[in-house]
Amino acid sequence: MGPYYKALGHINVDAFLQRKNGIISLNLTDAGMVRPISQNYYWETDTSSKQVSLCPIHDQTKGKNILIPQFINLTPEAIAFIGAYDGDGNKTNNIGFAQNNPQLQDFVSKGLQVLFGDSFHSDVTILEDEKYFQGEDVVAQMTIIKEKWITQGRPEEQITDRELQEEVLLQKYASQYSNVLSDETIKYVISPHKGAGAPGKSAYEIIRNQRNSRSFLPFLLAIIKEGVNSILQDSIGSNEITWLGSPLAYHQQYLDMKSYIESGKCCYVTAGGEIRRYEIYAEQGQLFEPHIGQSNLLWIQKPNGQRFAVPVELPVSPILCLMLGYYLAEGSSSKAAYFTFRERYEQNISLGFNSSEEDTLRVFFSGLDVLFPNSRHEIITGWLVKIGGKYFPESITVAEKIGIPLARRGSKGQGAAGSIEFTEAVRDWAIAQFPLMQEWIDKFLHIEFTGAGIPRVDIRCAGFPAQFLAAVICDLLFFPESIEEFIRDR
Amino acid sequence: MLQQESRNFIEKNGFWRLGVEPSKIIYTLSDNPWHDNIIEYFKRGIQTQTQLIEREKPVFAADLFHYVLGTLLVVPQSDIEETTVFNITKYILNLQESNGSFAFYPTNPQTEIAQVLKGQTLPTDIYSTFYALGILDMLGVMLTENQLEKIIDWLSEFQATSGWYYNLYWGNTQEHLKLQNEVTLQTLCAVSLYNFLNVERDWNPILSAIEEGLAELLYMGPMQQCLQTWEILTCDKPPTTQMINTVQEFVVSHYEVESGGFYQYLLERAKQLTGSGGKYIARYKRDQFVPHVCSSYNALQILSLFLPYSSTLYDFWQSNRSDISEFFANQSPSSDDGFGIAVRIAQYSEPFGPESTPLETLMILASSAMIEHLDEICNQLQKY
Repeated sequence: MGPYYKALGHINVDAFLQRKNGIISLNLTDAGMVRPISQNYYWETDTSSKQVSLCPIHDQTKGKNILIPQFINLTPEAIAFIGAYDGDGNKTNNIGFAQNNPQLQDFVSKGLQVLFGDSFHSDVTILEDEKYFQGEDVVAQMTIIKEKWITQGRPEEQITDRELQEEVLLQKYASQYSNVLSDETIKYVISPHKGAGAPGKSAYEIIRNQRNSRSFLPFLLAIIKEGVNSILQDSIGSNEITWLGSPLAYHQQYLDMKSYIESGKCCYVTAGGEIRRYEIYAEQGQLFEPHIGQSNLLWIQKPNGQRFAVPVELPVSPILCLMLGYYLAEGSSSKAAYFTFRERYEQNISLGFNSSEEDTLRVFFSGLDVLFPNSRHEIITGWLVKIGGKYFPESITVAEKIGIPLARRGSKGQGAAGSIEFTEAVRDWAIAQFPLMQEWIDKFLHIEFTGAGIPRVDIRCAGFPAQFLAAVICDLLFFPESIEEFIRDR
Repeated sequence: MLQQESRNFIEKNGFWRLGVEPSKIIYTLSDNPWHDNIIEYFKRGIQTQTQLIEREKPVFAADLFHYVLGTLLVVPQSDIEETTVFNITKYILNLQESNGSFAFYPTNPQTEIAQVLKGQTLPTDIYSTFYALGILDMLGVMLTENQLEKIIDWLSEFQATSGWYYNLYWGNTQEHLKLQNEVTLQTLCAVSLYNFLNVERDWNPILSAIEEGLAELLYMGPMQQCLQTWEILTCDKPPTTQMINTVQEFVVSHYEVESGGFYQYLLERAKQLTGSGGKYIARYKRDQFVPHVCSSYNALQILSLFLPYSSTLYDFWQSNRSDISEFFANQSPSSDDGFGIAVRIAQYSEPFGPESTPLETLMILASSAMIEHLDEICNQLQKY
């Protein structure tokens, strides 16, 4: 990872494997499921090269071995990688990550490279809905490709629609990932069920898996779980994971918020095409609000917008980095918009978060506390429970138990539940399942039937800090060199 | 236990909800091993509901209906305080809109879920009007002719051209995408209201809608609601052969031999049709799937309607009667003395929605009487 940040701690892989005696066994909670995962490993540590040779054991037979660093530095990027992978990474089969945004894919790939180096080749699966190929532009693109192939001597009758569709996807992928094509195997999944709403609409997704890495996934997931737990438990050190200070507060560096805001980097484009910048409303100590206090705060706002407090020194701490990593996976903003909102108007920049796990929600709330000290009650505007179509049968069973009809709004049923008895029953479930939501009971909004996923909590936030957070995430994680001058040592 | 006056009032409501005469339920109460728990559950339930009302906290009309019905069935009338009856009556009357309809819930800025109803006037609906009228009826409160006529006028606005009844204000999803129990329960409530108010209409659109839609139903509850609607409207007219075939296949396929209970839905069929096109069926393997009290009791209600017309169902009942009876006998009360089987999603630790409900407790209470009722039907059929 880049040289811009100092490590906040490290993982001692040898000590980790020693404590486990090479036996990785964990219950992974993901999307409401508890997955038991286990794998035995044989390892040897070369203290001179500081490398660990790790190989899985199957039926008392050693498998392929790979080299990993004995010490893994917990840099801000590495910690964010932990959050991003825990949110969106593969939990079964090969190590991999599903994401349609190339920058985020690359970010995760770099994180995996820190751990595994070049031990694995990438297998790429490109997924798209059949409806995409019915769009006018795509049809035109397929016609051009076909004519080109005919010119090159291919008999027209041998050219299939499937080949043309794959070529369209390959061109799109190559334009995004031109530097990583050489060693990758690409597969295509074109299906009528990917979720595109209309002809021409895309449901493009890239899954990049590490080939033959399945046996090493338990090791990766165990390291991730260990890292997340140590941050949440604010545990400074063990033999395996050592933090240089309290993971909830310690930092070696901070973002100098005053100069960062004044630099104009915290900007966005309005619907009218104008570039607007967050501006400083009041400096440290100039404004006092009883519930927030005044020390170490800077009050910022969009032009004529609502002011809010941010720390004068934003600590690049483990909890903030973990939160930003999870936010990349579970945040409500469109990922692509992070990289364009300063150049063009992006409607899909918002601040919100959804999760089916209490720990992840806790990380989000803790991260908000770092970004917006003592202000989360102003930032969070409400929360709801989202229920995917897969869980309609269970929802109807609940309605039948209560004796009420289960109505929903929106012409396609994509809206809020209209049945108040059901709404209350599911809200009570959410508070029992995620006890920290009790604090937010007054901000409960409704139940929303959407997508296909498991019932989960969706947190909605005010719009006024959304572009601020997007700028911070983008600059801190993806373009740290662009804010090098604002990153200061403690 | 129950004075004749109240008995008359609950006769219609109890029968509507449970499909068996309340007098038979009362008769079998002492045989129920859990009768003390059930009495305690309804006593405490009605007390809690009344306390909430006294503190101006909202309670749901649906819950209140089931608590009132349960209380009148199992609690000696001398133990029901006059103030309880007064407070419930007053509360329900306050839920009435000027058009005669009743709300399912009072809007109150102090309520915890106020944001859902923010800015709404009294949220009235078909089912809540049915439940409210049922409560008033059970408590001996009569509405004026004028009020009843208003309800009839108001209700007619909710019939779609397809024949089904539903309220577009609370659920404006296109009819073919609506969750099935929205349409079937609202229609049953509308038809029951008309029946209750002795109104005759052209029922053919509803009957056609049921006949055409029966094979598409995925859930036991909606199936029972459709068939009960059919029964109310046709007054013992035999169902068509196609309906009989559909119903017997549905009931038999939803039966779980191991437990003697009935599923609310068939896992793969329901999940494929409501989820992501059946692509990820492997994902459902971790979903918990068990027969429920509601669906099992609804199956008995369906059997009571169709045994005379289906030898398949007659044989099915004869073969499985003892196991089905065991299913209900094996249910035990939860910590609040009520009954119900929790809905669980994947491996979430907490049950999705309430574990026990007043409706399911009523169903457990009525199960012995319902099983005897089915035996009687079989005996009658044997005689002829």
